[in-house]
Amino acid sequence: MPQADLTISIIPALIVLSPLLGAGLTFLADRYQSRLRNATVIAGVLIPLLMTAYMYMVFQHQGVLYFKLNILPPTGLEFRVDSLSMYMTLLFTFFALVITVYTLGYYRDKEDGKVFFYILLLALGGCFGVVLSGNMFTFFLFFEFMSLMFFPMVAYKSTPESSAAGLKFFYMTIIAGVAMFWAVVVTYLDTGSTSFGAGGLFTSVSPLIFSAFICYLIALGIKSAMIPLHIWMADAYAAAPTPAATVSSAIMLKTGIVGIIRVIHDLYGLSYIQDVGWNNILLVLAIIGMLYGSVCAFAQDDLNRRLAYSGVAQIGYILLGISLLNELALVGAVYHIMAHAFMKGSLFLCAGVIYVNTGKTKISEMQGIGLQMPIIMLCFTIAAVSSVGIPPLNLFVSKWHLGLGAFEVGMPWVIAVLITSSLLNASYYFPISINAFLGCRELKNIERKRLRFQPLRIIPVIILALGAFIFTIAPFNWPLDLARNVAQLFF
Amino acid sequence: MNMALPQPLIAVITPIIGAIIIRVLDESEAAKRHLVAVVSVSVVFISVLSMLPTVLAGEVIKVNLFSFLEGLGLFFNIDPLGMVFGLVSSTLWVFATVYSIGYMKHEHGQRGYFVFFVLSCSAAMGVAFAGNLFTLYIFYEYLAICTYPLVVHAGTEESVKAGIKYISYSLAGGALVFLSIFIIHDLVGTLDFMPGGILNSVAADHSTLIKVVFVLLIAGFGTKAAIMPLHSWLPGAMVAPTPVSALLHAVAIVKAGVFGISRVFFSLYGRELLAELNVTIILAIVISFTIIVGSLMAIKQTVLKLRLAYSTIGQLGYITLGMLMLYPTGVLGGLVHIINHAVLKITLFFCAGMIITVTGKKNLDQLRGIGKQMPLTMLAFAVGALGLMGVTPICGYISKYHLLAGGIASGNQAYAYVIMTSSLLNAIYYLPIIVNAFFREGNFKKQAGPEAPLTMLVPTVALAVMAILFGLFANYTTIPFIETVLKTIF
Repeated sequence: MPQADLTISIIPALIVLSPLLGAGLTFLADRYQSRLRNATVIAGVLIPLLMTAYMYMVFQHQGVLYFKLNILPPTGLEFRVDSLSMYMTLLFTFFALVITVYTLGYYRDKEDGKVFFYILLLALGGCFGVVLSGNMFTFFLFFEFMSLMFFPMVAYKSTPESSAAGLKFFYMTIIAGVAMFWAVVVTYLDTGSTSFGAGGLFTSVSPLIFSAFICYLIALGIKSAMIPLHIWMADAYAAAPTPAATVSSAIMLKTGIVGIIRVIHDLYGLSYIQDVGWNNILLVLAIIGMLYGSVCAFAQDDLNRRLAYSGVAQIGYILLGISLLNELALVGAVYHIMAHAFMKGSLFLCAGVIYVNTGKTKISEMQGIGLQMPIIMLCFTIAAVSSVGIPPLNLFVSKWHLGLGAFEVGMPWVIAVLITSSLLNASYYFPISINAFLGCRELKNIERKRLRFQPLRIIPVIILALGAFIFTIAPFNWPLDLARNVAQLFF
Repeated sequence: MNMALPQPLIAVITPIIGAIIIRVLDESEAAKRHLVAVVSVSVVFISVLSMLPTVLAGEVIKVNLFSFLEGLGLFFNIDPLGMVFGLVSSTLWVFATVYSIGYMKHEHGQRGYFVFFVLSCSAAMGVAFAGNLFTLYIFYEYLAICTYPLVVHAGTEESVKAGIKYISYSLAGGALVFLSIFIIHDLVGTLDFMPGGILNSVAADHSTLIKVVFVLLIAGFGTKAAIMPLHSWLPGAMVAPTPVSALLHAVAIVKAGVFGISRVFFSLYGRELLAELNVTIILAIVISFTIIVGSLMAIKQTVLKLRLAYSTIGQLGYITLGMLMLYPTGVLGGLVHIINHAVLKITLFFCAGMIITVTGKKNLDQLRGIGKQMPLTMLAFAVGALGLMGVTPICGYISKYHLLAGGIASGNQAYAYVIMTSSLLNAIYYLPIIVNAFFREGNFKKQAGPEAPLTMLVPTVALAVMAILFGLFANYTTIPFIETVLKTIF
């Protein structure tokens, strides 16, 4: 795209910078003025959200925003906001705020969560950077930074399990980093550019270029928990504090997805991928993931683990939508990014509230918990129902588009897979809710202790649960509209 | 255009004067001694820096000292390549001298230590500025001799043994260089470094002899550059005080070896002749072996300084491998790694030294949870380690990118695979240190006051910050600098 079409704007850089500055200020506040601590934490995520809202208005009028700093050779630090980045930034900044507020409630003891907030803010800055980046090298920089920051979040409890889970993730991150470095170098050498927005850079086919594609898939697949690279996830989610798992599930997994979309549509280009058929690798992995993840989720008794495996299946949906190389399917995938974030976000936050209030992590121990925490379990149920894809909840919209897309490219059998997976979803989520409300015959077993109303913990959960259906029942489905814009960008 | 400037002489002579003053001062006059040491290395740094604009402008500074015979004499010739080594060493010497003040506070024999510490600076400058092979040889030996007392400073049996090994390797290597001086002088009648090489004219008639000389020279300088199997003095020399290990075994000595190799490549043989002679492929195999085996042996080490030492062996291989590619991007990667590796590795050594000073711990398994007591130190360590692994935006990635790109673009992908394998191995031996430091429980408690003496902490943190700045702003700092060097080679 010629430079003339772009609006130069510094906002994307500021969005990335503010959480990083927020982390620094929080550190200073902890040292010198601890009353201001919560304010700096909130400011670190609220300011990006406000700036994103402003950026959205600018974007509506002026189109693609662009900003380049000539540091970080060989390509320079580039930010570029097209409809995909816009969509993702809106999502990320919103979730960042919700999760951060929740974390303030989760770590009410200031000493406990002190360092966690620095890491959280730094990681969020990295996440914003990933989706706002304008070339693959910048993407790589933020991607690696974010991944390295996630490691201390996993290991934060410093129990043996969390250290082990953290290490597993850490080593996979390093493999991802090396793989991605290779891929980016090959891209840059072969095409002389890694910039997004050109609709495809590669022109020739060679083993080297294929190796780059595989390396991209490995690196981004590890982050987005693509089968068979999902192995870090269940351990990490089970061992990590809930906010860390939520950030990973709602935000970080999605950076991998964005990366895969960028690789397919911006680096290789639609027609190139269609010619060589490498999307079939992704397609096969996606379908295996959808079924395998659901079956595994079934077998877990630890709530976080069950949610993690369910995440593997959900990522399968998104990858399916990308790999079908069809406009409707991509709308489904992009919409599913949002839908999954709301759904899984609220499930995780519920799990976190259950944990901090009762110390329970096993599903089998949660009988009758709905009577103790009705609001939380109601939200949990809404999200669970949403995940099955029952209309009018969010996931219905994405599954509908995925199905239509599959039909259009002549693979109607994919719809059968979708339905199977949805049924499996229902079978591992509904029992949790049913047990929570009805599972306890003897009411005396329930702790009748009334819990104090904890706004910081409850309100984020309610907001996310509302998000699971609010857009579909509203007269105007805003995210769907944005998702359509994203798909139009590439088709 | 050639110019005569006084700075090279100032840079070589000031440390000698400084060393004499330190020797004359009484052992008890620590403050004055430190002042003289810091001032004299700072003068060196400033005089080297003041030559930078002239060299970057493409002018060559020549200083003729004196000649014994026709074509044989002491002669300084400061070209961009020499400037790289000179600037890196003199900059880091300032940091290391400040750091030494803190490190040596409770050690014996401080006067002797500083005498030789400052004196070696002059030798390193001589190596950097040498305008012919003879001068290079003289200063190279001078450097070995000056650093010997530093290596054996502890005075224990172990250190004496290591010292003997060190000096014998150095002198043996020097002897090989000396032998080739004879042959080259006999063949060409001159030993002067020229941008395109000086051996072209005789290559046709004496191709075998030239290959033999090449082997002699590479073996000679390769001892210092720790090319396997000539590396074994390097881990042994780790008994030296840490600032010495840091400076001499991450920066000056080993880099003098690598620098010597670069002189052989680009100032004696020239890139075209090397490509013609077909000697690079064998060397490339040896170097690749060095990189991989060095990294594997690093994994095995349980003492922090030894792990760093083996890592140095691998990293030095990167530099030589990059130069071997004889392809602009690869050579750029190799040469820029002289700077990047120096900055990163000296940071790591400084951290190791602070850990020793503050806690007395040397073994890796004793370092669990040390991040609690020394967070800044371990953060600086993390920057250094991640930088050597090639994590953006710390400066190591600049070299790794260019090495990979050079490997792929020069058509020999094997180079690229070696570097990728090695960076995975790097991760395997560095990451556990960082992880253990921050995420394992240990016997370390947070302490009041600064975590280490400020004369040590400040240089270390400054270097870590520098490493990040050199990564982010490489196309304003290191890359243009190295590109001036490339202009003289290609």
